[in-house]
Amino acid sequence: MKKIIFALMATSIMMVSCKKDEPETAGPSPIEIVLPSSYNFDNVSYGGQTARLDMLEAMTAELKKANAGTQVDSSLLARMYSNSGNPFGDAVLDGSGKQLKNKTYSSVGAFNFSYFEYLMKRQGDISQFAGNTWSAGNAGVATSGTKSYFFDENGVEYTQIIEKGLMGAVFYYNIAEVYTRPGKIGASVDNTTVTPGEGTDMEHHWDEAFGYFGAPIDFTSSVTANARYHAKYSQKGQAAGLETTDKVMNQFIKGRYGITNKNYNYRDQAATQLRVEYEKILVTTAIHYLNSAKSNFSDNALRNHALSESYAFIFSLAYNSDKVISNTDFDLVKSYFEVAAGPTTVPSFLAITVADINSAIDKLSSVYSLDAVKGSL
Amino acid sequence: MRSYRIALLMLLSLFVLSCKKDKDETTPEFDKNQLLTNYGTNLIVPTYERLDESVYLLEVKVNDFISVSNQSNLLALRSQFLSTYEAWQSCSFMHFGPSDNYTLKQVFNTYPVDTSLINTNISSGTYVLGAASNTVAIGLPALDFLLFPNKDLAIALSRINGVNSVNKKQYIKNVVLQLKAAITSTLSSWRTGHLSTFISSNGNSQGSSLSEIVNAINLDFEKFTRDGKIGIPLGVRSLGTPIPSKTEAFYSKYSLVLFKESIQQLKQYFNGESSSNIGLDDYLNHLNDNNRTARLSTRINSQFDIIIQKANLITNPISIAVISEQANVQKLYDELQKIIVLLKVDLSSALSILITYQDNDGD
Repeated sequence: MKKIIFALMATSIMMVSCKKDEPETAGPSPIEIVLPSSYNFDNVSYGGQTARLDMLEAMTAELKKANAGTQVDSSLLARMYSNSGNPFGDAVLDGSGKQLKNKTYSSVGAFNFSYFEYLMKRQGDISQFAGNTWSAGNAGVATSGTKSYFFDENGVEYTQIIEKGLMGAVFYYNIAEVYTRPGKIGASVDNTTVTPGEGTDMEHHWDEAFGYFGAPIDFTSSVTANARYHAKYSQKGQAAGLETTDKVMNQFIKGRYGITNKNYNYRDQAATQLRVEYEKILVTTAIHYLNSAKSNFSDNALRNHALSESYAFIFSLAYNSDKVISNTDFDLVKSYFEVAAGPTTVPSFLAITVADINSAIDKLSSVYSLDAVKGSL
Repeated sequence: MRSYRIALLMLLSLFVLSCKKDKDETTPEFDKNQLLTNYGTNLIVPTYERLDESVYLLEVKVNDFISVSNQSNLLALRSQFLSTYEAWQSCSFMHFGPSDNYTLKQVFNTYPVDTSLINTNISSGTYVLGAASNTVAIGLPALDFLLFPNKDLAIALSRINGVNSVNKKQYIKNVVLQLKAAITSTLSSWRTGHLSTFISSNGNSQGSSLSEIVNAINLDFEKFTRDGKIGIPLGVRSLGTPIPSKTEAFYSKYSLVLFKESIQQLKQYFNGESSSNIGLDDYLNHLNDNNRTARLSTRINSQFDIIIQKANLITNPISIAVISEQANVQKLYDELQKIIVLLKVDLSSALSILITYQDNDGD
């Protein structure tokens, strides 16, 4: 018997010593809710968002014709933007009744729909020079290895400004300012009447926010197939160890779970936290491209391309009224990429220096507490 | 009672087994800390110190030449320029961290230069050398163009002292000052904190120091050594038509010397040659790479030697050799291709390093 007791004691010692190797944080306590691992809920519907994501793809394909030396059809772009006159040659999109233009940010204070229309028009006009080689001051195509990009005379790639800019002015703006705000998920919004296939009004609004993210419902850091737009770019921060993908995805899941189970604390926490995490997608991607611009500083094609990408991700920060960065810092960072043109400013990358790029990176990384990872983004 | 005891014993042994799993199952770990200490302290920082010293002397020689623009000062300046270009070679494959931050490689060695842009800058006298539009008008290649308008010292001197001579000399000085600012910032960044960050980042993942070392070697070798120094002048990117003017150090015709220097310095770096001598070769040997007749470290070292042998068969500067000794340059290029397989595939997979520099952006 003594031996048995001894053995039991030994066993318990082993158990204790084994336990040490496990993570020290406590597991879920009995009352804590275990969230679903994917965005798999009843009555999820965001067909309108998927259609707009597809429309932007079609517009981007038209814009990129300039990279191959072909003039871009700006009137087609304008019709695609407002989905008028069957511009897509795709019965589903043409007949969807959805469009990007009337969902684009429309006030003053940030780039709005008329800025994007102006860029589309100008891309059509100046891409008559798409057969030329780009040089500082002359629009044309610059090539590096297998990559070719069409830039304006200031080295700005409108394709990126329009595509990434509309991701900001439509997708991010609607997530940050519309679908996660009281007007769409607050107390006055119906959360009892279930429309088959679409859920309650409140559920549907949250689903529409998710639809703009561009993620498959089982998107995680390890399941990345079919992720596009911001979902795809969330992987930049994820790769640098920030868990950006997983954090954004978890907030979407938490919010929908909260709405469906009428756990409004969850809904409200998720709405706030989602905006915080989503903003990091933009910032980490902007820094990623600024790093790329530095690494390729002597390569006109790669440098201007990367600067165009980062400029669009930076100005997109403005589409969230709760943005972390102050207006002063935001204007400062943006100013590194702009020059005065009459009463206004335009993006121009001709005079930018490595010191400018480093200043932009350092300001962003300090505002968003990314100093430790800014070099690995 | 007996069966209880047996059951307990079994339980116990289960726990023992499960505990054991958490411990190391393999041979003792390679001391990466020592490896990184050697690379950081004995190789990288001293390399930057040499470049810093060399650029300092370059500035001295420029000032001497500006105050007395005669043949002997031009000769001294040229000679210091060439030593700086040699000192640069190993910095090229150490391009990460502070060096990447200050874009050392782009500032020091972007070629070919745009000679008409340089001339425009000189005649206008107003320019910002750090601006994106001037990346092809700066660095050692700009000095190469400006100090070697002719091989003959007397002719070169008369050209430099000719049209726009004041602006031209000022431009030479400004280019050197830009080099100085870049290397000073890089070196000071390493000295004031980055060295300890570098040594402590001792994993294998993306962003770890080992990953940065291996990625930087591969990127530099592929894009700047194989393509830049040999492949592009040879015409491998232009359907076989050689482009001599895209050779490194085209005007001083120093390309072959710089190429050999770069291979020798890379070989030393691979082997961690220093007082402590712990290099990537030791790490590879530690990983018990015995499934082949020759160890990977031996194969890499032999391939470096073959490359030097092939380079020794070339008698002219590369810009001339791509025309007059094309077959020899082609053979050299083929050997460069072979070492890329060893470095990019075999070395990186043996060390579990992910090659991350490919542009996987898709657009």
